[in-house]
Amino acid sequence: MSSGRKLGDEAASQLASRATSATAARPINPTKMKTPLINHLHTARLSPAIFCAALVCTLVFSASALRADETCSSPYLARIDGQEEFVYVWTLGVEGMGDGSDKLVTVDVKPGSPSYGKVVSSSSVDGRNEAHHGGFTDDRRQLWLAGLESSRVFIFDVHTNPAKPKLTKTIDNFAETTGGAVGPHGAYALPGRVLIPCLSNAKDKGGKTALVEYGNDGNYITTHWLPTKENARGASGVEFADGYGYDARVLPRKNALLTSSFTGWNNYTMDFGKLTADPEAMKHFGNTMVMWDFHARQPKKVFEVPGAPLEIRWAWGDKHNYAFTATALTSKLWLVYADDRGEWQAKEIATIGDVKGGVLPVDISLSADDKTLFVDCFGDGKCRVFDVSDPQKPKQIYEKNIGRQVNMVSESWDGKRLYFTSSLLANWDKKGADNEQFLRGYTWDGKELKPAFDLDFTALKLGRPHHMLFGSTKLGAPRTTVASN
Amino acid sequence: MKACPYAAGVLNQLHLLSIDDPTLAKNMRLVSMSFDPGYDTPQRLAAYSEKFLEEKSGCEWRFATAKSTAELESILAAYDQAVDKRANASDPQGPLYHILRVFLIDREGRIRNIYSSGTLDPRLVVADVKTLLLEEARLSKQ
Repeated sequence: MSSGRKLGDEAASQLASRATSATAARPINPTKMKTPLINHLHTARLSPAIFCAALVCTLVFSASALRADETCSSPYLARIDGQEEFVYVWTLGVEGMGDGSDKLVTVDVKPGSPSYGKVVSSSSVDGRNEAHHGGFTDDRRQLWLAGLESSRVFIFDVHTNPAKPKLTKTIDNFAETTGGAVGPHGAYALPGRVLIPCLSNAKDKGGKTALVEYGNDGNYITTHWLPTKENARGASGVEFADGYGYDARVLPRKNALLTSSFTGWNNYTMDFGKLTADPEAMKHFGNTMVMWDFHARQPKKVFEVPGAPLEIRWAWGDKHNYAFTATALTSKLWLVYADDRGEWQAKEIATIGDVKGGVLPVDISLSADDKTLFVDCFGDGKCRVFDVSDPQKPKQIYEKNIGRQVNMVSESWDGKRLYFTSSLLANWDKKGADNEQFLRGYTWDGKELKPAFDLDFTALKLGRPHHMLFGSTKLGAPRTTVASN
Repeated sequence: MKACPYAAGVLNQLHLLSIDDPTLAKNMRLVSMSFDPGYDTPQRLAAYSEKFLEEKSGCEWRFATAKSTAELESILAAYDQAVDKRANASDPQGPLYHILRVFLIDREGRIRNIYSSGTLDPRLVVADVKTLLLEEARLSKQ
């Protein structure tokens, strides 16, 4: 499906152009759709014709004041009503520690609960896979957790008993199925499917990689390779294109998919000291971000963003057409934004920690009101907080030492609670006494982070805690807005 | 019928667009599916549909329900559509909650796109339907 159809105004043409080239060519589970409607519907009389089946809902999905949830998850995701009840921690196994396997650790964070701040369940997977990131399906019934080293993806049922997730399926043929993508980095909910940005490829295990889509049923759908100089796939900025990937996030109302870039399997599995001492290896980091036509999965523009731009956080405001990222190797904040003409641009906007050699910013979290950005810095273990009310001119307003190393940060929708974990990668974490491994909960009052609980994952023989996701027994609707300017 | 006003509104816009577009009128069909078969009998749905179908032209728009909850569940399972009951059955937002999914299905019965509350826009749906028609025309020439 390549020919766009102008349907009136600018927004329409933006949405409609290149309609469904990806989805049209790659139907989801065509066979399982054949019969159920015909068998059961009272009033539908189906004859061969194109049609839309609208599943009538009883839900009003206006935003609820009581709705919480974490701020950095997919806009297509069902939302938690009220405060999060659990923090799921995807944890790297450590040889000789406990069972040595990667595991999904569930921590109770219900206020007033007798087990608040304690581990309530732990479910191990097979061996060590370089547990990294994960994400829910759009209905929030499954949690997909990825292993960077093994390229396996573990699918947990978090609906039947949110306090005790259960492993239901393992995807262990990822490279073969996807046409050579390896290093699945996480899982990002799309309607009825998940988007898995990858870090590497099976051919040379370098940084050239792809975005992969699976249906919620665990069946492979398609692969989209990142643009390169050799094959820009129609994108502008080909002179910058390196084909590298890391994060992938969507701003639905602008039909915008933005990706960032890190490094390949050869580097992220290497000892960190050895890596940084190897000038050739250090050349192989991503220096780009790519703006895509989300609907068509078509790369449109490659931005030069030097120094491994990692996590992407789109603003939530209806008129806020911008996203933040932080570059790990150059310690900068960057803004990707629509300019006065509606053209997407990328711009360096601040230095993170004016420290010689940089502070290795890793995860970032943007508050739901788009005013506050939390930046975790692995190098010195600090969380730096920026006022980003003016996204073009961030100002650091606070910093707090979280530990000797810190990686991920997850923030509740109401901005009152933040959770931090310590592990970056098995071979990149600090050594000796600096190798603290923790989940730490804090409260935030707009001025100060105050400790709420502290879990020592080494003492508990759990491993290296990495990505966090919020769980609850109470779910609501996705927090999205349909087309606006 | 306690239908989602947003989804019903978008489908209504699609139906209105089809009144002035013979291609859509001929080739597109809308099907609204109730998740509450106990309440939404065919008679209730027929009454509900009247307010949307005052115009007799345009594409076909069917309002469907199941004979029982058990039959509904098999349909929901086939679409991987989760529906949960609210703890409070008289909740002002309705007795059920679920994420919104609207499926674009082709003549072969294959799902070609899934729209959610973030992507369900009548302009986008029309573009996709017409793209499918272009694809069909292209394939028929081969």
